[in-house]
Amino acid sequence: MPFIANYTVAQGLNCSQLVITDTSSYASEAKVTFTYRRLYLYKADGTTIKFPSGSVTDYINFSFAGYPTDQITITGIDQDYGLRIVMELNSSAPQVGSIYTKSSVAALTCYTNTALYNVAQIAATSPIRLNDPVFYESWSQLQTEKDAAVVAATYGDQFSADAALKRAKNLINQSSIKF
Amino acid sequence: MISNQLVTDYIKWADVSIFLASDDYQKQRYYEWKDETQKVRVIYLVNEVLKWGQPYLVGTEGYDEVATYSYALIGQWLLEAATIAATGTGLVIGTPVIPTSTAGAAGTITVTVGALGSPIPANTNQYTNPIMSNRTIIVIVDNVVIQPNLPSGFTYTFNNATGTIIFSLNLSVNQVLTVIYI
Repeated sequence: MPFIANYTVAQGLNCSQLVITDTSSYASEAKVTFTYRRLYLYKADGTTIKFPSGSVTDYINFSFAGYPTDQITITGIDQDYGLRIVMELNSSAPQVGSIYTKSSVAALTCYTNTALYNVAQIAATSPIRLNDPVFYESWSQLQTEKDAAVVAATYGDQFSADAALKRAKNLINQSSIKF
Repeated sequence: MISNQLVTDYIKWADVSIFLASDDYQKQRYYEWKDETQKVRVIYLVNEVLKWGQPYLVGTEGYDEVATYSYALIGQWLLEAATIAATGTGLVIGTPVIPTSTAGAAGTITVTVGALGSPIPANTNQYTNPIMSNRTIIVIVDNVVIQPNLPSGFTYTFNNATGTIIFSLNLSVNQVLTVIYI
């Protein structure tokens, strides 16, 4: 059976953190056959997120020795991004039919979700705020941008996902006058 | 404090209420020239916040306020929504999708039963992976999609909380289990 690289991406309540878990099955190729495992977190502008923060390489060293549980927590995420995440493995004995690189687009929406939560709390404690068209329209717009980012990422459209999240960030930056 | 189970109920009822409210407000707009359709959007906005916060914030004061607000918003349709949600037919089938993470892209897991290092030993019927918890899954065994909760035949049950699949029959060596989670 060929080896197929795979991973999952998750974000919890701490928006500065991103958890990536290698879910590849190493039944067909044991971990010792791989010389390295790397992650690339490409932003929409083509630059990469560096981790650890002082790193000078474009890739994150997701080594088997350093991360025996196959899970890495990347810190220092400063805002929501549409990210193209690439996991690259290098096999010393590559097999025909195996796939050693996995790439997908993820929309990081934690900061936007936190803002949406804060707005919902304002509405819950002071429902009369919904009579303010700026409040309602801004809230609705923020949700629309988040939904758009998630859908765009599902279809692998990193740039649309990132653009939606940047529009959401602009709304959040104007929270004091919008909400 | 509002329990996690009650929050799940609120989310389900709000999911149904969105459709019921849409219907009512459209009629109102048509027959009475009174447009309150914006309220449907508010139910959606609050419910999305409830879904996002459920894995992390249940029991906190702020989350309780939002949950109570959602409950108040859907009050007009509550009885009907609860009835529909409880039947498991109609607008809602099963439980709503409550993502653990907003960044949680869909993914697949492939496991060969009984292979070296496989998490499923041969002649067992259970597979657990926390990645699948709070997800909707599609289960495929040897390229055949398996239906859940059938009264007989090869079927499975899924514990959404733990991410555990329990098959009705044992899996044999070299069978290939593929799980698509969304």
